[in-house]
Amino acid sequence: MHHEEVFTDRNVNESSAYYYVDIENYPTTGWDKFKQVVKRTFSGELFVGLWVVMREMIKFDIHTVQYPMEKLPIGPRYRAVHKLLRLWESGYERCIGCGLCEKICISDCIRMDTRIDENSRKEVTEYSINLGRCIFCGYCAEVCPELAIVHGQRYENASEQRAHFVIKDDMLTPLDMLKAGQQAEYPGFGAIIPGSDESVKKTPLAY
Amino acid sequence: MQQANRLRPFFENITFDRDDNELILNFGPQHPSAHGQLRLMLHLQQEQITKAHPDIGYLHRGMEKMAENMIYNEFMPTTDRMDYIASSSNNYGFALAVEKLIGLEVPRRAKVIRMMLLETNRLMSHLFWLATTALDIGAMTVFLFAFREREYLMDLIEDYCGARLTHAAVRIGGVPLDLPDNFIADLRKFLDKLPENIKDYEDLLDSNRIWKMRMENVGVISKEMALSWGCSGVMLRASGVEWDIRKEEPYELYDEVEFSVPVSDKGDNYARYKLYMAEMRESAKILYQVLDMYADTTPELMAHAPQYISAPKIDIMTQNYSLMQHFVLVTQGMRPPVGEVYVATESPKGELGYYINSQGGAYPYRLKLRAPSFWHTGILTDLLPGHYIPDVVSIIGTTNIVFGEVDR
Ligand code: SF4
Ligand code: SF4
Repeated sequence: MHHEEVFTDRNVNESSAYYYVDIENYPTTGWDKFKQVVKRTFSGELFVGLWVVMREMIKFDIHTVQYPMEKLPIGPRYRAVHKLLRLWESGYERCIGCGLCEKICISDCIRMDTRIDENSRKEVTEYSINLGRCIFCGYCAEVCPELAIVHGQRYENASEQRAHFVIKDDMLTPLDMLKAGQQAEYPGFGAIIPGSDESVKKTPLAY
Repeated sequence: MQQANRLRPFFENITFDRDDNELILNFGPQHPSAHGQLRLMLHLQQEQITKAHPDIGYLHRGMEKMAENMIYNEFMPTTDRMDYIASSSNNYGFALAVEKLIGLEVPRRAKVIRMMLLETNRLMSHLFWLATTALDIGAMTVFLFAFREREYLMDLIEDYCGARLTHAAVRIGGVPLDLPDNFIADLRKFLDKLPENIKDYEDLLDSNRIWKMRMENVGVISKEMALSWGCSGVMLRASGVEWDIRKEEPYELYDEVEFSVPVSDKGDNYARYKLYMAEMRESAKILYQVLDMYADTTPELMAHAPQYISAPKIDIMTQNYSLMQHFVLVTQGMRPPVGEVYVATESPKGELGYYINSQGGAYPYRLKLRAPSFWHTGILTDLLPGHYIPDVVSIIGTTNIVFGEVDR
């Protein structure tokens, strides 16, 4: 059965509609073809193209980056090798071992181990990301409720051994760097919208 | 088994048959102009093709099956890997399908940002198409020029979402991030320069005799053929069918912007080239309009639907109920109502459709991807016979197929 679907909200009017691009008709008769050959032989369009290239050449506008010596800046939201952050005030690890990142990870590359320590607090003993599998999707940073796992700026991660790829100690901000105020908050996936301090509401008692 | 000797040369992938003079040539899957992993089996009479048989599957990852074992949110980065030239378009198609399924209304700012992403992706994809096709035909300069412009756009996308190729920049129910500070100014700067750049490409190609000879009257697709092979996008419009989903069934803000859609009735490579160039100009026009829309939107980025969508991070960190909801949504996933939905969007390559059948569970019961390139590969069977070997390269070029999408 032929079924004609009706499109009711078409966005076609005088000022925005379909239009035919103008392409010259191709020659069909022998005489037209001959005329085209003659015209093409004597037309100077190749020089126009040459001029475009020449113009770029004499501008001498070179942007080649000598890579290992020079590096391009990457955006602050860039999703490169992960970092684990610490709390500003106390220097404790932010990660509470909730396991949300482990669950959401699309390529299943986060592994962690936790235990309850002497003060009955959950302690994250192991945390590793297999960078050979990670697709740098940013979902772990997005779901983390503590802003603990974020993406860093390190994108050169060649290593001699896979085991070097990422272990907790590499990702965790060292305490001295934290004290020196060198831990940066990540503005990419999962970040708090700037200026949302004002919009914080108290939990209504009805809950 | 053929024995190699001096009279009957034996090559692994060429059968040489003296009786009917037919040669079978394997084109690809590692051929650089096979655009990824296309393998074409060409039957040749001298240089002319008598039969063509596209063989696909070298990049098959079983995405449809993967989707059945993932919660809806988890599938988003996987869609990046379909048409990896314009990955936000794939993200968007999927997000839109799920939103239709659960009946979500997306906040206006998210819509504006999505429009920007969609159209920058269209520009990126068209620039990439121009670059690779020109390179296949031998115009190295155009390749370098077009890649330079594409680089600017990739930098912009990198500023927005932190990745250049696999963006994962759309979420079900909105977008994950607001635009960075300088994004609008940078994009505007790029758009102001774009007409100049397009003019450069056209100066190099439009009337170039080599380009014309390789393009004109090569790979002519008639209207009937385009329709019966399920072509869409530029492949369809170059054959004289007025069909653009952005116009016929506007999604997102396409009903609020003014833009025109170029059509041609020639159906050959040259017409497709012309349409791609014209579409780039139209995309720029759309982008100017959405840039103006951004200013008068409120800062909400995600739809408010606690049953399906996690609250914003600030709520998760301060509100107990939001946090609990977040844990449930991440560990168990959202559960859309029972139902099925098919949503088609106009991706840069054509009609990109997502069919989702939900049985009310956290995983889709069935997810079908309708990728435009798949059909455009199929048409090669009918299109190539009668052409010569060099034309194969230019025809594959203008069909604009991407193998992440064909094999899925
Ligand atoms: S970026 Fe994606 S793939 Fe990599 S660890 Fe995070 S969630 Fe997993
Ligand atoms: S989601 Fe964040 S807090 Fe939870 S385990 Fe992962 S890093 Fe730690």
